[in-house]
Amino acid sequence: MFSTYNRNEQTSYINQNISYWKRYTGNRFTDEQVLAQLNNAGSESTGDNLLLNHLKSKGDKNGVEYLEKLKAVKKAAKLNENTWNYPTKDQLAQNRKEWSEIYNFAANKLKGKRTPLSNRYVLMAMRGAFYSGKDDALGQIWLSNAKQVHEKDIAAQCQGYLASSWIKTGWIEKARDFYIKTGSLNDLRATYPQVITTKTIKEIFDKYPESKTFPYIVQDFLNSSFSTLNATEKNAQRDSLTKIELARFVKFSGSAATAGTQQTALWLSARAYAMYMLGVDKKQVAKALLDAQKVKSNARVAYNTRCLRLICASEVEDIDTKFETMLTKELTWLRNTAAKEKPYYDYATFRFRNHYTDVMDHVVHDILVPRYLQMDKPVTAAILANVANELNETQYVCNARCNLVKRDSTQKGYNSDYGTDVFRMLDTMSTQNAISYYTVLTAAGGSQFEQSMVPFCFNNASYLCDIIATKLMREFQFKPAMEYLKKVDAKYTEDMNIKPYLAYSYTPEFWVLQHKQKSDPKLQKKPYANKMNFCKQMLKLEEAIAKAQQKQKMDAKYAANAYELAKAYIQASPKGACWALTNYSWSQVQDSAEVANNAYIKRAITLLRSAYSADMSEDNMVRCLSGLFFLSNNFSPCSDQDKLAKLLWRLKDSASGEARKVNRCDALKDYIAGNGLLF
Amino acid sequence: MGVRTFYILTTLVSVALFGTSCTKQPDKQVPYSGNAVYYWRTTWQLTEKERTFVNTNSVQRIYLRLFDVVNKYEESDGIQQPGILVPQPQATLHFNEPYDLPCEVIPVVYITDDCLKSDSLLAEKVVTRVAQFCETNDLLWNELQIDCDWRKSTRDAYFHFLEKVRAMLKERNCRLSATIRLHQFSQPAPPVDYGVLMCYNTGDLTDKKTKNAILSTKEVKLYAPKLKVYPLPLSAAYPVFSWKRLFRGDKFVALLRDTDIEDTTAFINCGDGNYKVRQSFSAVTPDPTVFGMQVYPGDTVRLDKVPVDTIKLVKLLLDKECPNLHQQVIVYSLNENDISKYTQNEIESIYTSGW
Repeated sequence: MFSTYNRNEQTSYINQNISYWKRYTGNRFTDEQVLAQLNNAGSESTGDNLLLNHLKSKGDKNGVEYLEKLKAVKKAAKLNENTWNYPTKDQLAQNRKEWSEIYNFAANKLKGKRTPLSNRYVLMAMRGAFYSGKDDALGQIWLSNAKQVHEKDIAAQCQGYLASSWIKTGWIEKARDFYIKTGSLNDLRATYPQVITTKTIKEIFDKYPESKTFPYIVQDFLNSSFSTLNATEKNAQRDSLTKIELARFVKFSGSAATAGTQQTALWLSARAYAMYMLGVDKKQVAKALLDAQKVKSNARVAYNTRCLRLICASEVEDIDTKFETMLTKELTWLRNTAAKEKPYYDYATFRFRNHYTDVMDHVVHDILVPRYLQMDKPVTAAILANVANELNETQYVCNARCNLVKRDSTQKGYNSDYGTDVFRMLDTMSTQNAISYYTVLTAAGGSQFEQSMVPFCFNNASYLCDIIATKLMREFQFKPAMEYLKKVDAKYTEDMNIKPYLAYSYTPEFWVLQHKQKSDPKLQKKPYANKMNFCKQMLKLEEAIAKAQQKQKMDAKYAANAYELAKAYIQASPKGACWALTNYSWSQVQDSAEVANNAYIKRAITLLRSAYSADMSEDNMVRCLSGLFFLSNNFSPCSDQDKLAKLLWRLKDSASGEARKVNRCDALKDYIAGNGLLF
Repeated sequence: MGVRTFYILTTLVSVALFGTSCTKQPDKQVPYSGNAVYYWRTTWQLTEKERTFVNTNSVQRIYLRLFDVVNKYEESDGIQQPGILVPQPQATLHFNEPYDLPCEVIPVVYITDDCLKSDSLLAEKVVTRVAQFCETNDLLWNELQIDCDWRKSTRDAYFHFLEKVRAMLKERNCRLSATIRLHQFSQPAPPVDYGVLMCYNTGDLTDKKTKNAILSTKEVKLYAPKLKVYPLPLSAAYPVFSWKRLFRGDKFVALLRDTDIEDTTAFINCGDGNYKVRQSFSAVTPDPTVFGMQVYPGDTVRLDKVPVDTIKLVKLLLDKECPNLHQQVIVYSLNENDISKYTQNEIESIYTSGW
């Protein structure tokens, strides 16, 4: 959680260079035209020399001179040792001469007054020195110009040449000193085979108290310590050693902070974070962070301190109006900062991330959500989870709302809104709480704090109404469910991941195993309508059997209705082919306890038993027993299922008509195949 | 006659007429004797210790990797162009200092087997490039060695490629040799003048259960009897390098580079080459695109290094099957970090015959 250096910061020289030349020539050329000039500068075709011709016409002598020399650079660079045509000795000598001339030309340009093209000449001189083998000149150019090269992309290129040169000469100590001085962090880390300790940091500090590498080295040390202390595998001895090292760091950083360097804020915030990891009283840590905030620093260090204060405050401060006012301000800032920082692509999660999205995740999911849930405020917890999730979802390449990837307009993204933490919270909270959540998002309800977070939430009425309707359906509240279903926009249902699974009819016999059942062509046009049909049908049948029960008219018609209902409930349960009517995902591996506790399964068992008693005809008995057998989970000998299987098997031999369909019961056939000896 | 039939016949005829190369063919010997070493880096620059190694051990020839051939997208102005993958040279050896050793140079080209089918002019390109490379860098050569991890599925294409290379080398009065991996022993021999038996990389480095992925006597024992009937003259190459294989749970993560495994703040030595990560840190891997890969407590590192006694045992095993095998011994590879882990006596015992 400590970030004073953006390790994922990437500079793209090509893109930056195009932007530079576009600006230089008054934004009159396209990216492609600029690239043609820069890349194909050796060509004499007019198409490739648009910029050069423009600068000539404007009388820009300096610009023309640079682009002309760039042609020489491009020509020299064409000699590549990794092509099939390996250069001859003469070609190599000629090439070295060309690079040497390029170096001389560019180095001369740097002797005079600085111009807007000076930084580009620094890079050109370094390239020339590198390829002509002037290793000493390479370091000299950089040392005398580094301070003026503010363009990160050029600096990174220059440092790349330098690093290659040091590696080539094998001077580790010299290279290390140089990297510390110039802040070439990646190369510096590679020179340290050991773990970075306080001793390493102190050694650098004693030699170079203003080294640019501290933001990186200190970050590496602190975050590594955090990973160690929070490792899944606990180890007291290891943790104790890490804490001893952190205590050393607290002592050292305290003295570094009083040394009067330009990096005092860094040392103060690093010390506070080390104290935090050591378990020092959080109020003391918060004060140390406040001290760090008072000292002038660069934006990254200041943001880091602010994030650490937010983490600390979220853990210890009482949740009240004052706290929530602070939270509104800080989360708004954090969210905007996260949205502004260039993300990196995390291949493990398919998401774009950056340090601030990580902080948001930590503060919300690890600290605030558990605290609000403990206070029995699930709606606030869900709103907060939504803020963090939405920040992530808009950075998730598979989500259609992610604008960080170019998507073909015909390609629809995967709807990942059914896999988020906030979805899981909505799916498991009470229906009443889900309705309250819906009210906060769509009707300005809830607390002031909740309302302040709404602009950062994923807010889609159809999504919410569908979830509420599903929850009501699971509770047999079909009438109110239908009201919410009516509010779901048909266009929204087109992009639902479960759309194809909604096109299964709930009327076929459940005993034909799920994977053998096929979707219903009639439902394929408007599969979502199946939810409404199901509600209507259930409502009708439930009313019919309730009426019969009231009149105590438990006859064959009652049995038929109860059986129909049971069949539909089984189909709409996780065991049935129409699981998508009441679920958003289905797993091959089902938790048997969860299935047994499913309200639809329980209701189906009651209905089948009731139907069995109401009509003692052989056909009715067989199909009801088949249903009960299908729902039974106990597979041991002498279990209910075993008894049912034996009973059904006997009936199969003697029954006629409908009862003979038992032969089609896949579950029974599987059971017999696996337990043949029982029969 | 198909290529495969031709090789089967060649093998049968050579076995029938001459018995085995190792036991009954004094004329079918590797054309060299003495000590040799592989040089497998991308820049030529020797440290003092490496020069001393060459001199002290009377190294007579250096098997010098010149470049790799891999399938890549074509590049234009340094940018990869999406399209068809074509075989291209990469990681060409660059001379930071002139080659000034008194040892013979044998150029080696490593080629991935997926390149073999896609370019009919590949053999010509490789030979031409090697010739130009040697001329430009003042290297005298009279042999080329090809290193390829070919399998049964790529065998025909590989042998066809070697045939073409060999024909072109013949015009230049040059020999052709090839590396032979242990698993390739179960296949017909490639059409070259002699082979170098790679007594390393014998195990699956991504498998945590592999006790030593560099060299295992068990693997060698499995293939050693095949030496007797192998129709090619062979030299042997032995490893003097180590691997640090990082695992998270049972899953292989990466090879670690520049990591001091004896740093007790970072690792606990659990014995038998196994180390447990004690402290989280960002490690360096050989993959240049992965910087600062975080290593976590609980991760394990398997240090594979080959004790000299293991090498001696393997030598003994192989000697029994093929007495000519150690007429020339090659060490892999000339690198200060690796060779400095062995004493001079140990290096000598790798080079010399007997226990």
